[in-house]
Amino acid sequence: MNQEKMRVSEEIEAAKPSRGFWSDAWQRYRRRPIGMLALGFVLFLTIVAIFAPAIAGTKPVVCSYKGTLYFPCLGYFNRSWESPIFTKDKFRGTYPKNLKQKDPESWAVWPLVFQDPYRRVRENEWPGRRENPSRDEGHPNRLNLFGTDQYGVDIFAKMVHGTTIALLVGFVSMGLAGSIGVLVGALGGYFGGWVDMITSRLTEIVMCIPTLVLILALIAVVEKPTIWKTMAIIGATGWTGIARLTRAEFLRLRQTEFVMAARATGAGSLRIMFRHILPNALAPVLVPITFGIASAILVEGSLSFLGFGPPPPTASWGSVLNSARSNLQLWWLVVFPGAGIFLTVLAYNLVGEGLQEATDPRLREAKK
Amino acid sequence: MAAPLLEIKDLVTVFHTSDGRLPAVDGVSLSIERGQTLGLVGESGCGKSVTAMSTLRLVSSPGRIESGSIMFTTEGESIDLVTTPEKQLRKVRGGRIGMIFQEPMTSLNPVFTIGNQIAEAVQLHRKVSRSEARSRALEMLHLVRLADPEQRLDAYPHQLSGGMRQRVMIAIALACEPDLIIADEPTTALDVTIQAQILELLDDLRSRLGTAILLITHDLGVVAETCDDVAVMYAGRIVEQASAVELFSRPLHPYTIGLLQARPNVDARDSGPLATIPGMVPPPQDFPSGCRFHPRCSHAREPQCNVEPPSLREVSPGHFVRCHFAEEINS
Amino acid sequence: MTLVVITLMVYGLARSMPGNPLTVQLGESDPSRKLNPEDQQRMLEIYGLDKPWPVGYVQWISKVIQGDLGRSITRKQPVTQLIGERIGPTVLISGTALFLTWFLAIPLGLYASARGGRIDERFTGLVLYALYSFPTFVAALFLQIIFAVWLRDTHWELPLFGMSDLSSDAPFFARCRDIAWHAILPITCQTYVVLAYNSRFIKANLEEVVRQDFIRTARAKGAGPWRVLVHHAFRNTLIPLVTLLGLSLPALVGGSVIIEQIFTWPGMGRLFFESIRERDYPTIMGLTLMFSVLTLAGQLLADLLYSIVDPRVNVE
Repeated sequence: MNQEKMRVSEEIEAAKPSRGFWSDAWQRYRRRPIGMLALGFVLFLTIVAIFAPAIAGTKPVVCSYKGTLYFPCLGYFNRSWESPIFTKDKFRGTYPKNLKQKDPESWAVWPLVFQDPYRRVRENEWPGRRENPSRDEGHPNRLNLFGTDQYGVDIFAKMVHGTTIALLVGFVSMGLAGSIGVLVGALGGYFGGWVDMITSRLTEIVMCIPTLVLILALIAVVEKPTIWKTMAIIGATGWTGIARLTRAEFLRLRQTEFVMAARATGAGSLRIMFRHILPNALAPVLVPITFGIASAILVEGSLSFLGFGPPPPTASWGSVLNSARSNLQLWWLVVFPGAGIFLTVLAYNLVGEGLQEATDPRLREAKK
Repeated sequence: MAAPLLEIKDLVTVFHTSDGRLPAVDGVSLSIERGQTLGLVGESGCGKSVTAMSTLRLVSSPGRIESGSIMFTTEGESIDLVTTPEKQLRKVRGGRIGMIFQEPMTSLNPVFTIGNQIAEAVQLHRKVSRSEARSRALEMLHLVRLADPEQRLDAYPHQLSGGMRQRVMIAIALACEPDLIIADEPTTALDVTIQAQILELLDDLRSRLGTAILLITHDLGVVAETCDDVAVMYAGRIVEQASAVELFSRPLHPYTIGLLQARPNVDARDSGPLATIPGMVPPPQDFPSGCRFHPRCSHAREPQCNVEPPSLREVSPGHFVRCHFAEEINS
Repeated sequence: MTLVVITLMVYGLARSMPGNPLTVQLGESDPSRKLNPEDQQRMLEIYGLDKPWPVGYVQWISKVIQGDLGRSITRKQPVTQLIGERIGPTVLISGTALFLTWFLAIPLGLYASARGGRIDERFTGLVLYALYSFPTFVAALFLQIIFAVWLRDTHWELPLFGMSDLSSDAPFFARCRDIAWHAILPITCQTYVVLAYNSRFIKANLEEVVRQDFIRTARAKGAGPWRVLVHHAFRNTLIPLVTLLGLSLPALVGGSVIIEQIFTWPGMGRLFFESIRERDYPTIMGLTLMFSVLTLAGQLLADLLYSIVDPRVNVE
């Protein structure tokens, strides 16, 4: 009788679903309030970045003009997305008056804050509003929440639109760096021998050249640095740490039994690398990638700050800080972008750390 | 009668984890007399190591001693190791009670020499000069019969084998002539031949120095050879306790019986498959109700065994069992 | 071997940057001082710029082997002399920063590990974490605003730019004080990030070491909590620490481009930056060579120190 009881309880044991690695990690991540806060902040930034033109801009979010619906605000993302009809009708970027003048039936939904990140808002552009103040008078006021820079361009708008750049920089450059790093590390770690020698030398070489110098040199080589090229360059120089880590992981996992088992079933090298080893090696590699996002944002910030970033009129937080250098009395030029960069970097660092704690197997043995 | 050297009474040590309050040691009582060897036996996870650690308050967080007392009597004085202040306890640790751990490979600090580490044990408790401590360390190495003791004094742990390191651990534990040594699975991580040597050494030291030993192990064979008394532990509780001779000739608890039966018999050639105890040791978060052994016990009877936890009863002089039906099963 | 490849790559990269020193200089200076075409050609020849870059590279490397790093094109000084002038100021900042960092990080790390989990440690930990995430150039700007603008004309004012306002024949102590006064802000900026990182590193390491079995043995011997931490645990933490120290060697001499740029500090970082902008190839190459050598030397130093501190490792 007891044997049966035994078997039943064993079956019940087996039937309890075991959580997957990632959902397990997520459970653990959720428990840290700071980590969740940081993640929330990143999400908030993402939303701001996506909806930037709807939050601050001088172009309507959506308007009805001469019977058709348009979304002029998308022009902030890409010039060509702003319908050509507005150029044809000689709007010259000023929407409020022209819409009413050229089509009395038109209506528009405006962004939350009527300011432009690239230029100064002119007198009466928005009926009844004076032009943006500049220089010493540009301190934060009701219309310019974060103040204006020395030319009168609104800082709030710059910050909002700069968010798009900041986040893009982080993701794109780290995406590139991550891909390169993982590839190089995987090849070296898995194949060993002369392949490893080459990849290791390569990693060493890129590591030895002072990063800033390399970046500056590459920027100078690429004649017209756009934001995309800058991101690519940052990505192309930041992969070394990831490569080293990936290589170590692949070296370690190559010896494991499940890899030998995969080989025994006839799986080819490529398949083994990507389908078997990579998912296991991913967790520790994600951590430096997250930290890398923070560092990429910092690098872009410093580049803009030094004057090497994407040329104006691109709005980036670092470029605002650049203008602060020669205008130290305009404290708002430092406080807001500085706080922005600081909080973003802090948030990413916290997320990275939370991720590390959630996935580190050794930290799991609290109970013994 | 003099008070026993060490008396553990109703010790409860719990772990507060995300799964709740887990009582790894759930009301354990033991006592050891001077110069005596008590073996604490049980499978992995039954709580025997935690009991050992609790004695010197070395249980690592999130573990905590919740209740109970551990009376240590030496030189006419008794102190309760559970409540005594940290400073006092440190004098006992290493000074009056020595401890040997299971993993000799990692229990020594890799950056200091052997001699340094043994000497430290001496210097922590006695006011002696560096050279005196060093010569004492050498003496200890001789005592534990380590080959080439003079050279080994300046060797680093990584230069010694597992068996040699364990001897060093014993040397450290004995450095201040303690009254009691707690040996937590001292031979589990070693080869069988080395195991025998270490056990022999421990036994020899006991008879020479008169040190009492609390030997914790899962290996019944080890217990049979070296211990005066035996306590069997299961799921955080002592289920049987008796002298070694008595336990091996007349085991009363179904668990003990099962353990003894499960040992392969060298002599019987055709005895068929090995007898096993079905099922597994329950983890603290899933302790069965009533008698914790009942799901695996072939003698279990409802409703008593799965509702009412049995208490530890003295069934015959000096022989304690925690079972409702001990007498019936064995008549 | 690695050095050759590095220098080759950098040279090629530098030469592929558009423009050459002359065009950059000419572009900036006023048109009336333009050189006539023959002079231009002559200058190009002198510096080997008229030939394709692989040839230029070979020229450079053959001179390097003889110990000659060439002359700076824009500054007309031997590169070695240029480096010699600039290295002092940089080491002043980074050396002091390094010393301060280690001097403060070790006690901070020990303290954090000993008081782990309690309110005061959590608070300091948070502050350190925030500092670690705070970008240096923002901090530099902040400090500049506070100390040079808001506190202007007060006792606390600190100078904004440059290394020294006094001329070289001013009395020695006055000059020292002046330089020190100028150096406070750059040193602060340089220190705080590394300090935050190092103390967290030490704390994390200590926490991991403390979980090891031999710590349990030490406690079983009767060692008190401080002895366990400082004698047993810390000595084991030295191992990764020392590696960190060795790897910070290149930064010691290379300085920080950003900080030196903000504070107009005449150091190596700034030299690097300017020479790239001016396309001053010999200087670029000289600096790169030095930097690469230091990086490799730093790794070697780290390995060496590692083998000294960890008895398990053999010196090769």
